[in-house]
This record gives sequence, C-alpha cells and structure tokens, in this order.
Amino acid sequence: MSEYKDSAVLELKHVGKVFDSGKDTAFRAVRDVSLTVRRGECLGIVGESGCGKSTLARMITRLTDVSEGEILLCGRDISKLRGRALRSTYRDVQMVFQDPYSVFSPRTSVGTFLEDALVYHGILRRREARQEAKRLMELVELPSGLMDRFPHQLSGGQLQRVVIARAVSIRPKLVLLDEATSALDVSVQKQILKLLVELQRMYGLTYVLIGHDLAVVRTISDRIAVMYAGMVVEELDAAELEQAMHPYTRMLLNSVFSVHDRGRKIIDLEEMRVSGGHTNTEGCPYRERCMFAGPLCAERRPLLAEKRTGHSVACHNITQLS
Amino acid sequence: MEILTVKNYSITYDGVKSAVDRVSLGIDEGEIVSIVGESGSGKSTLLHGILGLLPRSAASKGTVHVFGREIAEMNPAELRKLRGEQIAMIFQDTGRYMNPISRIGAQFRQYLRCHGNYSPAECDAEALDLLRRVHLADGERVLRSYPFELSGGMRQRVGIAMAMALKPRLLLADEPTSALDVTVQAQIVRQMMDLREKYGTTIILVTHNMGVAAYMSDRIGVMRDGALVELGPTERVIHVPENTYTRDLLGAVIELDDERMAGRAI
Repeated sequence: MSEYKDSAVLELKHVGKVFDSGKDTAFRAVRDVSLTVRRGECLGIVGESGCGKSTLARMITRLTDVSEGEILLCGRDISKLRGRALRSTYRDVQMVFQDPYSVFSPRTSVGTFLEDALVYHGILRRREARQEAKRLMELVELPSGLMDRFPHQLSGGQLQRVVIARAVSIRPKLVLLDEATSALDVSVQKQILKLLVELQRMYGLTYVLIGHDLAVVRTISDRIAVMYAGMVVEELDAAELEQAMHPYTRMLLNSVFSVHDRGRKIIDLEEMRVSGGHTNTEGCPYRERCMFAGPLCAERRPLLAEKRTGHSVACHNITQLS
Repeated sequence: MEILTVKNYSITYDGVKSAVDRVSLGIDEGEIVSIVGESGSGKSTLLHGILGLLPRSAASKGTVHVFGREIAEMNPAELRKLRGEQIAMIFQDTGRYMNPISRIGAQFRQYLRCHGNYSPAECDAEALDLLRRVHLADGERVLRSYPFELSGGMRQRVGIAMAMALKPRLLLADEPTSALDVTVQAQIVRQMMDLREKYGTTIILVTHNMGVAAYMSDRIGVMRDGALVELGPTERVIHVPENTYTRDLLGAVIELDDERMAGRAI
C-alpha cells in the first residue's frame, strides 16, 4: 500500500459538503467520500444529476468550500487553504467543463486565451507565450491559423480542444474533466476522448473524469466510482465494470442502450414520486428504488466495504446478489 | 396505410443554404421511425416543418401530407384542431414549454378544455388517470406542483401524459430523452413504446442517440446537412449501412463492450 501512497496525486478522506440554508435542515450534497487517484491514472466518477458529482469536483478544484474531511493533493491538504496558497492550487488542478463556449470571453481570441494562462501563471513571458501557443494548437491538432479567431468562429469540438490545450499547458498535477464531452456530437466526442488519452500518455497526466455516460467513462478510465445521493456506492476497475454488484450500478448498466441490443433489453417501469431531494434520514439512500431492500436497509446506512480486491460496494445485501 | 407523406421537402432560412434538403419520406400508421443525425443536420427542423411550426423567416418547398391533407393549405383553425387532437409533440425539455408560474394541474386543465370537451371536474379525473398511466405515483401532488418543483424526468412524463391526453394518432418526439439521466431515459423510451402497444400511436423520434433509435424503431433515417442520406429497416441500417456517413456515425458510437481506449490491462 505504501508504494501506492507515494504516487497518489489526489486523496479524498471522508470528504463532505453541507449546504446550510440557515432556517431549514441542512442539505448534505456529498457525504463521506474517500477516493485515491494515482499518478497517470484516470478515475471516472459516474452518477445521475443531483448525485453530488459536480459538487465533489468543485471541492477538488476548490471552487467551493469543503465542509468535512481532507483533500490531499500530492500529499498536501488543500481543503482549508486560503489566499495566495489557494491560488497556487488553482494552477495545480485544471478543469475542463461541459460547455466550452462558457469558458471563453467572447472578445478574446483563441491565441490570446492560450497565452494568458501561460503568462498569468508565470510560466512564460508574453513574447515567448505566442510561440508556445502555436505549439499547443498543433498539439491538439488545430491549424495555427485559428489562433486569431474568436470563440464564436470555432465549433464546439474545436473550442474544447483549445480548452484542453490550455489546461495541459500549465502542467497541472490533476486535470478534472466535468462532462467534458457530453455536449459534443458523437463523432467529435470520440476524437476528443482519443486526444485526452494521447495527451495522458505523452505527459503522464492524471485525470478525474466526471460523467453520466457509463460507456464513455469506462472507455478512458482505470477506476470507476459510482455515486448516489452524495455517496460512493461502488468503486471498481473500469475493465471489470460488467461485474458491478451494487443494485444501482446494475440498473445504470441496464439503462445504457447499445445499437446491438435491439429487443433484448427489458426495462421495467418505475414509479416516480415528488421528493424533496436527498433523504437525510438514516438508512440506505437507494432503498426506495431497490428491489432487494430489507429491514436493515432502512435502519443503517451501508458503508463502502471491499468485497474483492480493488472492488468495494456499499450494500447490505451483496452476498445475496451474486 | 401511410399517414404521413413528405415529398421533396426543403426548408431554407436565408434562401441560400437548405436546412432541410429535398427530403422524401412516408410513414405508415403504427410505425416507429427514428431520424438520427448530428447537431445542425436538420432533423429537428424537419419535425417542426411537419407540424407547421416553422418561423415566418423560413421558406419551404415540396409537400407534407398528414392524414391525406396538406399542411400548407390548412387554415389556423384547422391546424389547431390537427395539433393536439391528431398530432402531439414532445420536446427535449418539456418544462421550458410550461408556464413557470402556473401549477401543473391548471395547465393540464387548460390543455384538456382547449382541445377536448371536458368539465373542470372531468379534467382533474382525466389528468390523474393519465399521470397514473405514465407511472407518476402521487398524481394529486404532481397537479398541485409548479413545473420547477418536479425533476426533469417527471416533467417529461407530464409532457407525455399531456401529449397523450387526446390520444393522438401521430406523436412527434424531438430529442425527448436527451436532457435526462440514463435511467430516466430508459423509462421514457419504455413509456413511448407502451403508447404504441396500447393505442397504436405512430411515432417519429428525432434523436442523436443511436442506441435509443435502434432499440425503439422499426425504421431509421439518417440526416446529414439537411438531406436524408439513408432510410431503411433498423436491422439493415445498423448491420449493413449503405451510406458511408451512416457507417462513420455508427463507428463513432462508444459502447459498453468496446475495447477501452486507455487504462491499465489487468
């Protein structure tokens, strides 16, 4: 274990986020998340909207405060940093968002966008930055002629390449990809994923990929963590995703449509209810949707426990499932 | 019987480039046909054209016949009768088409009374029944809610319930599951297939999700740059695509059982 610890780029220890409105009961968006990402690895985090995956991402990038636990970046706790010290972590953790248009200033050319990051973080001076920006454009397979263009003149796929180039250019310790390919057309999506994998190999980059599309997350991740109602309910090797055990992960897998499973998949209609967000009560958060739920599930929240080497599940009924 | 016939249909916004380019397509009663393609391929524009929902700035050529009548020749009163009673449409985000400051119940009543002959009490009973059919358990609470109080998946189910209220023969669905979570998407897909089983509803589905298209439809049409480049039975289009673009599109789909692009081998 110790040799792994040395190369851990990111360690989350019992991380939680509480949104406290003051008058109402506090809302726990993320609770007790512990995860480790090693150098050169890609950790995929999947879950549905509202499961807390983006809040977790915003805590890792320190765009929002961390309520509970520790976030270690290369062994250093960044969860409580402020001011100048915090600013240096902004350089170490870069983020790529879903909608590339929202990242750009409409009046800044693509080239300047790339140069600014290098100059701001003190990596190069303005004069040298121009040359480096040109190299970066080549790196992400864009013609350098696009450098003088403005964001609205580029396609979504091209812009996302520029965003990735900028993220990589300042040599971050960690790149956080939050639904980075979800808004793109299928053909473009595959190209961007290939580019990400290539860059990872070239520079030994460490990724955390957040997504809702299991097939996409699986294709470039080494490990996958499945989140539900703010908690990690299963963690396993991406290559073993088919052997997932948690009923929720099973349901996610069964919800993916393949072009080849025409007529083979059986979907049961679930009842939907108006709910007030996550239940803050004790017990398993998934129990109301779970066909295996028993009395224990209502009483006690299942904790993540290793069921096999490298495969952890938070479920009381796991022995009965296999 | 063919209930929709599109012939040599083109739509242009600026008179130069065609958003829809000479599309011909016939759809039989009870069929589910998916139109797939990437953003900007004209698939949504085609759907809007069929329902006569194009903005004034759009110019169209060719003909669209629905139930034997040409859309372009119908007057507003006839169109209004056609929409809702004969054809219904669901959109990507149904919530956006709802009035944010009016409860679901009020909007449901308005919809039913506008198109059908219901008393207010009958409306509520009918609405509850419809919500139950789309598996929204606490229908009374749904009717008392404002749109923003429901999740995206629930709003979409409300949208489907409304669309089905008058048992239309033709349902046009424009990316109905694209904004939804995968588990909810599966539910909505199942819901739409239920409609055909129970009421024989004809469905035209516009989607960019090849998996959903393959799962649901009898035939698949592929659009690119406004043109319908391929149209055929689902099995044929998926397994022996004739058009190179269809092949590329299918090749770009990332599947759960694909070889992974990266990662340690174990």
